[in-house]
Amino acid sequence: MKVFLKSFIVGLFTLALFVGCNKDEDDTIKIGFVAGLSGKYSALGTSIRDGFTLAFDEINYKIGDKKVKIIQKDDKQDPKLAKKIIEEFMDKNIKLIIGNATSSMTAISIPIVNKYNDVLLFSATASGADFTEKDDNFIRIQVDHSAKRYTALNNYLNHKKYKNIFFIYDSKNISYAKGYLSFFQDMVNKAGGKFIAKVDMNDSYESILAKLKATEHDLILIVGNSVDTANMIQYLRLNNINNKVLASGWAKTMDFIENGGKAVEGTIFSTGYDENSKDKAFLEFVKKFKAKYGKQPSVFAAQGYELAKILIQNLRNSTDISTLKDRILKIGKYDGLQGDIEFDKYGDVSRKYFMMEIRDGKYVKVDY
Amino acid sequence: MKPRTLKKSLLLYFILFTTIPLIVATSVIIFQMYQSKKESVLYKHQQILKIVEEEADNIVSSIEHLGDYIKNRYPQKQHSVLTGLSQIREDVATILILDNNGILKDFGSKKNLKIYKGYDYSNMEYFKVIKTGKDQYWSKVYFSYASNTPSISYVQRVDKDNIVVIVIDLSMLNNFAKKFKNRDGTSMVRIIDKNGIFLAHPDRPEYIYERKNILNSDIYKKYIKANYEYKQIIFYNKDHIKSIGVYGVSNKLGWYIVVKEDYGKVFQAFNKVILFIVLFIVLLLIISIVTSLKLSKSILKPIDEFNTKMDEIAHGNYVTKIESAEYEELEKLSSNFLIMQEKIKLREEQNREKDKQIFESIKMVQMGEMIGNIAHQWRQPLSVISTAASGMKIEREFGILQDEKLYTYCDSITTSTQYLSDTIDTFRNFIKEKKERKEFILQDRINNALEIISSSLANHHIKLINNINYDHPVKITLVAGELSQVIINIINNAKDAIMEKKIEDPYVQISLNFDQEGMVTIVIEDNGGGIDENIINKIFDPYFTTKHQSQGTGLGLHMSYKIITESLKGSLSAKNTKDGVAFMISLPL
Repeated sequence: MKVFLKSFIVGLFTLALFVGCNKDEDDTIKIGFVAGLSGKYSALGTSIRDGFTLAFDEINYKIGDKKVKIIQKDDKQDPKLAKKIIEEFMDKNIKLIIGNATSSMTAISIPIVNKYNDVLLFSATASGADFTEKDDNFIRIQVDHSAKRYTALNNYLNHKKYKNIFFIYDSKNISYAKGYLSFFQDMVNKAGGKFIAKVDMNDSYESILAKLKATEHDLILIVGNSVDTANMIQYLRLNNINNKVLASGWAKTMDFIENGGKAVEGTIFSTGYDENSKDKAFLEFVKKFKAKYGKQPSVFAAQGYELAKILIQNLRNSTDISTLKDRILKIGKYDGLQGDIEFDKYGDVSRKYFMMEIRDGKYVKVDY
Repeated sequence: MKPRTLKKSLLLYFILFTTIPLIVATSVIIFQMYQSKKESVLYKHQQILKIVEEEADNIVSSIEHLGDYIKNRYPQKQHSVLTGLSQIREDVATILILDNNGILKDFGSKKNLKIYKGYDYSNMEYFKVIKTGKDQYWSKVYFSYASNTPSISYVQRVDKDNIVVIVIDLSMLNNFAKKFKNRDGTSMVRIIDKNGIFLAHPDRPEYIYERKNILNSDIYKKYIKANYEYKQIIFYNKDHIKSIGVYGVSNKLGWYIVVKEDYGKVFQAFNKVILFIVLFIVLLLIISIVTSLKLSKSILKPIDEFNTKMDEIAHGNYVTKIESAEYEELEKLSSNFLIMQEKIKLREEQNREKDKQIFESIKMVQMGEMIGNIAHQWRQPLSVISTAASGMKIEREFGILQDEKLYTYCDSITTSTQYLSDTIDTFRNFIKEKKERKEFILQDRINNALEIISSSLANHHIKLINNINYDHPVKITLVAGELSQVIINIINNAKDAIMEKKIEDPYVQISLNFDQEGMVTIVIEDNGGGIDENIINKIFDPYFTTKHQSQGTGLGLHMSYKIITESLKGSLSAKNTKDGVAFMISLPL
């Protein structure tokens, strides 16, 4: 009977131990997500986040028998904060990071992740040319700045005979602006045109206006986020600067139209996404997005969703992050929401670019 | 089925009857305590929810009043009203006046905004709604350049040319929610708009700036979607911390208001009490189990002792002593048992005495039977001797005794005396044989017995049919005289029965069967009329006899039975046949 008593007490303790024990953490895939989620830059970041999480929502945050945990961080378009966030991810052993949204922030994260062998930074939207053709720990589904990307735009300018371009950019995302300066400027120069001025958007509106008035320009190129660009255009139109405005893809969200009102009518974009696409996959996505969030998705939400789909497909085969980039590139070609997404051997993608214009408060594709 | 032991059953019942009621009662009490604790938490949460809902509606009403105020005052006082109000009112970030085309006519703000009169806001969702003819509208959460944060706006038509947009500072809602704190300083209240976007989250204000939604959360999927308002909800938050609370929907704008606490912290003190109770109960359980063990042991100890003693007695040790027990019932049992033991002891002694007497009687009977047998054997040679002697005498007297005849008579006398002498040897050997086990041929032993009894049978004209053959001599180890004694006894009984019933053509037949493996059976059958079926079971009992008292002792078959079963380890049985009875002596080889 002593044996009985002993086993009773041992059983009791075992039970207590089991109750006290926590779940094993090994069955979770942790994904870091970093983007500008608040302030002026949040239109981009929150769009990507909403698209990205929608894809995981569909699979109930489960890949195989593992749970997916997404850890969201806001870099506030602040270099110091962006650095701190990536370092924190590294400390917490988070190997897979989705981000950043803007090229400047991505430029800060890449050198940090490159120090590790088994970390992957995967961006939906960063298009900076600095990262092109590099065999590193970075991969993206955004088309980088390259001559090819600007072909449609160049054709448009030639067709419209725009020669003198007034360039307004956001110095807080200089990495992105550089793409326009290196590739686009070259093309313009070759066609006999030129960038007659380069002005930082963060300067006072009055000084920008003065410079605009002092120059002979036929096209204003604004590289900035959606709300800044919209506000800028409102100011320009209010002050009778009525020349054509070419805005960067960065600004191409619904916020741009809302905040720009009639002032942004006629603004043109060079883009790889068409909001009015009748592509079945895209329409399906729009339907799901609207059902969940009660609003129209932006291109960035679509890109966030595409990225998540590619990720899920590859994580199903293996959750080993050290081989993830190789595995993604090995497959190479994926079904996007608007046509295929095709990676080159460095993890850069190509996509057909075309022109869109705002007409009656909507993005409309224009052919030139 | 093997019977259960008393010990195990007793212990099992003890433990069951002590532990089960204890466990059941404790479980019920703990469950009830838990339920009432939950109810009191729910009540508290509902009270807070009611206050927050009222306050939230008040905030909304106050903004709507402000709209009315501007509607009444703006056309006259114009700009000063806007700047004044936006400075004074904490809940207002910016006030915009739009014209009927959505063009910014005027504005007042706490912040120095980079916006200018003349800006076109005609694409704003709220403007589009007002243009459809609505007089007032609460916007969704949107990112407003006018306030540089996620905002909601109250939009109201002032007159046919003017529309007022009151942009609300969401931090105001957050500050209001901050007032409701848990004991650990965290906030109890969350406010979420109809689309699931955070309006107030004092613990994580960044959620508001990031326009974070709750659509993927446990609480949304499990409860809000299922319209579980005002009921107690238990859910996991984003950090997988268990929470308990309640949610409601505000009247004015349909905001979800969640009042919640950390489940672990709410039940911290309660859990301590429960832990204490459980530990106490475990202690009680251990005590009751130990007590059960001891109690059952103390009850079973004397029973165990009885068992051991009975075992000894069963194996023939009648002098073993039983000690007195602790319990009255057992004491009585023990004293009765002692009396019984005494009686058994006494009877045993008496039996031994009786056995001794029986043994003596059997000896006497055997002697008598022997003498009878000797008499039968001797009758013929004695008559031969007597005839020879008287023949010689007569022939001598008549003088006709020839020498040749004399020799013949003398030879006959010598042969007869030799026969008598041989007979004496046979009987003496039978009586004198040592009581030691030796190996014999079974058939020899049977014939030895038949030799002794044959004359007696012949004298009574009973035919002895001897079917014993020597084809398979059987070697057997036994005490020499015993088997003969049994055979003689059985045949004597047959003879007595035949004579008593005056059977015609009487016979006794003896044969040997190798019926079973390792067994040999001697069958002795007669035609003496058999045994009454009513008494056939009793014939081996001591002192049982059907013969007249002068003839039988009632011990012969009893002794035979004892010899076969005890000494020879065989079996002895009897059954009626057509004309008589058959005795079967089965012996192991």
